[in-house]
Amino acid sequence: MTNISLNNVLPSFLSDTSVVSEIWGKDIVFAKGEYSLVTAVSGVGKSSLLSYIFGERCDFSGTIAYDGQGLEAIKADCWSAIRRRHISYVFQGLRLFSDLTALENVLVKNRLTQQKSEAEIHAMFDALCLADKKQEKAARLSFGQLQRVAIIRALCQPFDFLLLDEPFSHLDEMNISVATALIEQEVQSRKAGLLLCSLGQEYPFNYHHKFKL
Amino acid sequence: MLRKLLNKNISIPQLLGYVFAACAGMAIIFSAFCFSMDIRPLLSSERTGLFKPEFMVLNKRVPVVSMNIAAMAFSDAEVAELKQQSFVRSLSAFTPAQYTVQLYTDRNSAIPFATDAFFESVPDRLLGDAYSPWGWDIDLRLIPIIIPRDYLALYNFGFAGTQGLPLISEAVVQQVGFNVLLRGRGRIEEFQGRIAGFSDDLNTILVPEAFMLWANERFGDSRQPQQASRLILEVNNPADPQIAAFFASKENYEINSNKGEQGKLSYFLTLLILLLLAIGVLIMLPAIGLMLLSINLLVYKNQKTLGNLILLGYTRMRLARSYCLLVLFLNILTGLISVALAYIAQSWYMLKLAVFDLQQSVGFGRTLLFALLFVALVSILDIVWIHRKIRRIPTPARG
Repeated sequence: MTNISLNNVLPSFLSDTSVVSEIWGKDIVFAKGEYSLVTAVSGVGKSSLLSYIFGERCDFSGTIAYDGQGLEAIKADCWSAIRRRHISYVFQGLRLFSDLTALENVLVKNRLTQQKSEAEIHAMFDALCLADKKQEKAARLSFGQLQRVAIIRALCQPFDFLLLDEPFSHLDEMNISVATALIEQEVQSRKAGLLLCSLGQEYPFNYHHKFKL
Repeated sequence: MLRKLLNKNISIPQLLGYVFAACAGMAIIFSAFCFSMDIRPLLSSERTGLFKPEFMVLNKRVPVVSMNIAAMAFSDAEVAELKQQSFVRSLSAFTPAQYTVQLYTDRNSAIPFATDAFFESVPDRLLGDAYSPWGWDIDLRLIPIIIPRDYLALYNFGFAGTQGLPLISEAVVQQVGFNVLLRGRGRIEEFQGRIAGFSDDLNTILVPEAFMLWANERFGDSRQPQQASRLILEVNNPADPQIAAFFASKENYEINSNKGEQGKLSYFLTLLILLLLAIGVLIMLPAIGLMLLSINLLVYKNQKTLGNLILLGYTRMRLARSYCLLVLFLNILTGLISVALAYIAQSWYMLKLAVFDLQQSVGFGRTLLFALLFVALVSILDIVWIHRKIRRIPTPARG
């Protein structure tokens, strides 16, 4: 997958078509290899934008396409392959399993993709200061710790685009810099595109495009 | 770890409830099926009789003394009346030999005898499977013959005992060859005869229809009466009350009542088996309902987990498979327990039926096959249901 294009996309909750936005109602292309930042205050639809692109929701008008193919034309069977191989996503709500340990949450994904070795996964945990939290149930971790687990999980798969939805909102400066370095390295190694949504923070990436939603 | 996620919210009491109820239902259904298979040979006349059960032999009562043979025959009008009855599917006649018959063995035979006899034949299709194929070979000049079992009993228990002659078994009789002399239309010819079988329900000496037609053509005496004095009725249902009603109004008709009794018995037993099956099904239906409901509940409770797994890239098929395997395991377990229970039930009633010399393995083999089909059918229903439920998980909207 080399690009994701948005054509006049407008979420159904924005009934007012005169809304001023650099994304809603516009024609935008996110290309593989490019970094894009989308900033907005709460409630304007940052998470909605990513969940539309990810096929999680479809309550919008206009079209979104992967390499020119509209999402509505993609067969149900193909979506699991897209989510395993082409697009990875750090959800704002994380979507981790509270009954599993931090490590198991990552393995649930890695067993499916066989992307990383056990050693590589442990190295990522160590790098993000989670070495002693691997066997801890997700239910007992803080949101900041869970965010880091979700980031590791998102990196345990091949992807052409990485979607990040306020991924560092609960991290301190040091962890943000380690996490961004790790993400940068993984995205570079895949020559992938990055699409980050934030409330206004820019984080240390070299963006090709910046949008205000 | 996937199993850990998916098996969360599984209700063990619900599954145990299913296993218990389904075991009860399946055990009753399998036992009833097994019983019906086991007693089939007792109900059909394959075992002891010549004819299939839906055939009855009809003749007229012999008056005190009569030389009027023609009066014993059925007229065309009487045959037509019978054919009109709703319970009659077809009507056939015995074909009598139009020549004289003598049976005898050679002087030095193990069982020396010589006797006058007669032959009759019936259409081959009326005979049960036990006697088919039966025919005769004109080159071998060998005639297979079926005699009433009573003839042998008369000899063994009536005649031989008092005359100091040896008792002979059915197997021995069937191995002894004898000569058959046919005489008619100025011809005398000798053939070989062999006892092909014994019948309990037909008092005649029976030869293959093909032989009878050939022999009547060759030795036939056209002065012999052509009208039949004995008819074979093929009825739709031997237990039909109309049959009894019709023959009650025909005082001079005689029907082999044994068939009617057997028909009634067969009808009641069939009813009993159907009743048992119905009870089994009545238990099985709520059990299946319980399983489907449990699946609904499980998928509903795990909806969020399943949705998240789909977002991670798991296919709905892969997620359904996990539940399908669980259900398959439970159904196979239930099936095995039920088959074991049916086997115990069978062993018990086989003891009670030991006198009939039935083979336990035959009915049980069929029951195993039936159980396999039954469990497969229930499992397919469950699996289709699981896929349906997982396909309908609303999030994510795509995939």
